[in-house]
Amino acid sequence: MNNTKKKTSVILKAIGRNIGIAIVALLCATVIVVCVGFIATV
Amino acid sequence: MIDYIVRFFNGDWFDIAGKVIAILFVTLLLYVCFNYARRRRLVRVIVIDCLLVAVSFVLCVLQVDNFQFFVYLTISLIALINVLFFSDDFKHDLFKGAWKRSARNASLSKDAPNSDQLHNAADEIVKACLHMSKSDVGALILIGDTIADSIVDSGTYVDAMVSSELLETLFFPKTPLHDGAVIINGNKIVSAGCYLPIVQDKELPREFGTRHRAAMGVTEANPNVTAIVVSEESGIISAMHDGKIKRYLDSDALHDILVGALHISDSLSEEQLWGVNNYEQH
Repeated sequence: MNNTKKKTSVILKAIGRNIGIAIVALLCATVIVVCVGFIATV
Repeated sequence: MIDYIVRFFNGDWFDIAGKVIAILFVTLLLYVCFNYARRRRLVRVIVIDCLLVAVSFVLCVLQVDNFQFFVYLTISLIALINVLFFSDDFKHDLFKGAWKRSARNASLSKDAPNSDQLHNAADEIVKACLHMSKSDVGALILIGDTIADSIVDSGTYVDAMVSSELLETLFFPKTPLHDGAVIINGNKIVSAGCYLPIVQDKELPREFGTRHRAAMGVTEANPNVTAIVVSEESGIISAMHDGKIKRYLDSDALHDILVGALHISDSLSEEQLWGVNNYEQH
């Protein structure tokens, strides 16, 4: 039971970490594309 | 700049689709790099990337002289940093990792070991550790099913049943695979001669050499992994799990730890097996 709980919490933590990284990557990518697009219009 | 951001997603669907595809593509590249940074504990690289992105945004907002040049420079720096740090990981995953991983998963999923086979594996590991301890042969064994692929792939793929004779042979001095970690999953030796990252933790006792530090690094990074270390100098058998150490293990204590590590039984709780504090020595 303990192992199952621990495995579940480890999996949830890993998913949370991946989602966090994906959000940071998405924000950075959006800023980069917006900046490059803006430079192209100036 | 603010006007541009407001009308960024205005326009015909072709224009919007192009921008979304560009954002997704860059997101994918950054996500892969950030994942490598996390795996290799290079969180600073993520921070530097984010700072450079912020700098390029501020430059665009302020529109200083020649800001186009500086924005391109910062974006080029982001690309250069990621290529410098993670090109090897990318090449490894793309060309080497995939087939080895699939071979490993295929061999592990063929038949899950029953508790008798796991007990037998635990007995064999205890026997090998005690024998190596008496003859002052160093050993580092990692037990777990969530060990990073980069570690597994750094060694030589073995895929053999655990036996004391095989373990002692793998760690026998002056053989090619003795100076690395053996990785065990269930009742199988998955890989041998694996290289591990070493922690520079000043709290670790001075008598701990590279083998102990490497084991500590892996178990701290992955709480599902248990490491067994036999000291080459003193013959002391130690076990590490989730940043905790147990030393001077006899056969019974080692067997209890292996029963927990191989998930054979839940009779002993984590606290009973490992205590609460880090660096607890028994």
